Amino acid sequence: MTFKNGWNGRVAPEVQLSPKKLTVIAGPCMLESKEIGFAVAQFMKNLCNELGFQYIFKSSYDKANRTSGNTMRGPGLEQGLDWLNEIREHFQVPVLTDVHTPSQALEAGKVVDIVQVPAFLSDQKQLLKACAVTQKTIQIKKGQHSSPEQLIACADAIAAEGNPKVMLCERGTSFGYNNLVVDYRNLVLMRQSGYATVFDGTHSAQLPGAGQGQSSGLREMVPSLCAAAIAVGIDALFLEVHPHPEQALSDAATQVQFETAKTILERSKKLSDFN
Amino acid sequence: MQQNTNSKPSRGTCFIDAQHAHLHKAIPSLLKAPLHGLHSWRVGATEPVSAFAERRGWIQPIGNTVTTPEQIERESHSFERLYIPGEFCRQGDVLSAAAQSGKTILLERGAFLAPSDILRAVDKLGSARERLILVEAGSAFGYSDRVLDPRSLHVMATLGIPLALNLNSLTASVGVPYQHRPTWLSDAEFDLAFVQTALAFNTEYLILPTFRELSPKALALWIDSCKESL
Repeated sequence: MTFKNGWNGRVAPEVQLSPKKLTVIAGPCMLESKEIGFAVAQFMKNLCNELGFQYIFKSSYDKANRTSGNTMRGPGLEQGLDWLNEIREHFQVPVLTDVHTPSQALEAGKVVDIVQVPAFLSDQKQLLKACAVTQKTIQIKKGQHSSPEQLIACADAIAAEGNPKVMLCERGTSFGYNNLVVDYRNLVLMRQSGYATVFDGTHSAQLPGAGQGQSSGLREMVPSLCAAAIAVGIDALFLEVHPHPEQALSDAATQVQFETAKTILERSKKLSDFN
Repeated sequence: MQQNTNSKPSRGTCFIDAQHAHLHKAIPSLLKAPLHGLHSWRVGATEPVSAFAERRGWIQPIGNTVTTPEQIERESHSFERLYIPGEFCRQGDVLSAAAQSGKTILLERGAFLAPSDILRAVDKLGSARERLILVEAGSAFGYSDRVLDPRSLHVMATLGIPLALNLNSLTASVGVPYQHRPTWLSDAEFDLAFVQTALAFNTEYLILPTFRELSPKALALWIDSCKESL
């Protein structure tokens, strides 16, 4: 038994979360195309293999809550799940995506290994309940406005539905307007709760809504934020990676390019070995 | 007395959660008209919509909190007003479905959202903006607390859209409170300051607390200030 409620951390045949072996969850923010998804999955899988990390691919099929209504949202549920399934089959890696309604949770749960509850919706119990029903692993992003206690209560709500496979993810807390800070105390509390603990290094660097109709961010902060999280202690590191972040259709200011991802993971390797 | 259910309520109207209406018996009947089923964070804690709709005859019109397009399609015929919580204020599909419902929409600014960014959410509603009431519910200030920022009220008040102040969000801690949250944050003595601030920015409506009465002084000020339009 590794985590709370007797869960052994297994999210797929290929990956078992463990405090003793860091898992990397990485992919493009939006699944802009199958080609971009494949390119990132290929690079990250090879990199994680080299460094001895487990790897999970992530991407969103629908950015349903963008700052502006005039921006791209993604390929949509059906196309997006098809591409995620292809990536899963081709690379033999677990895949993760986020859902926004109970009906989406049930559909996504048929394909992906990990269903993610977005931060804005992290307190929505009907959504959590639907996610629990999928019997897949559920990752809950902590709301930027939520206390760590609230996040843990949401995880308990999923467990109470008979699904102990819950991951908690820190991604920054509102600190005034258009700004986030990372409260590393939350990682300590999340780990003490017994649930698998994840740190989202790229969203934590966001400056929400600060970019004239879109979110801006402090990409240069991502490596340091990640290093601090590894030092505190986490079970998985979450990163959004894009071949050309400046051209990305969402979160262009915080996604990291391949070389930066490599630098972050090499440093993570040293730090996690030290731990 | 039936009201024109698709029109906006009179200035000064207080919105009351149906399950907590007993807390506000002191409020004159003319203020009690519209109800609003405040969102509950616990699964199953809210009264089933069907049961609520059955007994709705005692007071009209009513509203309900909506969080998914499917819910809006399924339930909006039972309600005259749709309340979109702050967490959903940018969800494109929810806003689109609410716009298509033809109902009056109360859209809460998310506690995480910069005041000027609410206009981008309003844009997602298209022409339904004409049926919109914006709700100020405070800005995130640490865990389990919100502050009322006059700059936010100023920005929202200049958009030309009627404004409501959610006193429940400003005084209560939703869900599981942060373990170190000071208890004095919910004291009723602050109600008067909230109402004074609301009136200073021409706020037209109040959403009342669900866990205690509004302070008598605050209520008296509100009624006195709005009695002509009521």
